[in-house]
Amino acid sequence: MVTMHDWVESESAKRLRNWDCAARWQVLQQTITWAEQQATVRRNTPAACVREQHRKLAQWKEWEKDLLPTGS
Amino acid sequence: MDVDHILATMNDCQVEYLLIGGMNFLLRHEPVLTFDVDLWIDDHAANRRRCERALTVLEAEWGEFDSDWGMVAQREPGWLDRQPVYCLSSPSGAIDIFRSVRGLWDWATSRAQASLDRTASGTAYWGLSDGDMLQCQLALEAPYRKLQRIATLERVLREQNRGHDA
Repeated sequence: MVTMHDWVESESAKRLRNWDCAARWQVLQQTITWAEQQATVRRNTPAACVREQHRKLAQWKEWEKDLLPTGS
Repeated sequence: MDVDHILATMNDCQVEYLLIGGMNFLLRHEPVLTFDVDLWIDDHAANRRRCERALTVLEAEWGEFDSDWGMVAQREPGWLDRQPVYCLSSPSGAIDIFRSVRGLWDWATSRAQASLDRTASGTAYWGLSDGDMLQCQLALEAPYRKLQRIATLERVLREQNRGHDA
């Protein structure tokens, strides 16, 4: 029995075989640009940068804590 | 990719659709890597014809086999009737058309729970509800589930429920 997953796999593979590489690459680049403009994605704003920095600093502090020898 | 153009064309052609998959999740919650627009259409003949017209406007390409891959504009009406899912290419991006979605049984019920939203540039679209997005993920076999997406949806739904209870 052909499942929905099989259908999607074979249809995606067929599209990939038949889509010109240059056109596909252009579409991928445009997708990233479009996604970057969406409210949930926006990274290139002061607020987003501060938020991301905060998240990375917190990660770094956790990582540093793990590096400290136990009992010190 | 011009997702706005794809959604606007579907709207203009009065296709009854729901945006599903990664793009819907990206627009409503958080960034995920996704490169196609997944649309679940109401599966009746008149709507399939409208969808065929929209895909023609979008200059989409598809073939039943590699050997007959080409512009859908060249196809006879009714070509969307033959299989449950279609993966098309177009100058505006990759488009997947689903006539049915695993884990969801009735398009009208999902449409009643869907929300009308807008992209950053203001294009309106109907997006599958968080509850239905979660249902879709849980209907997949374990290796294909997107765990981060499930975690986010469960958290959002918990918060919504807490909001309703308060």
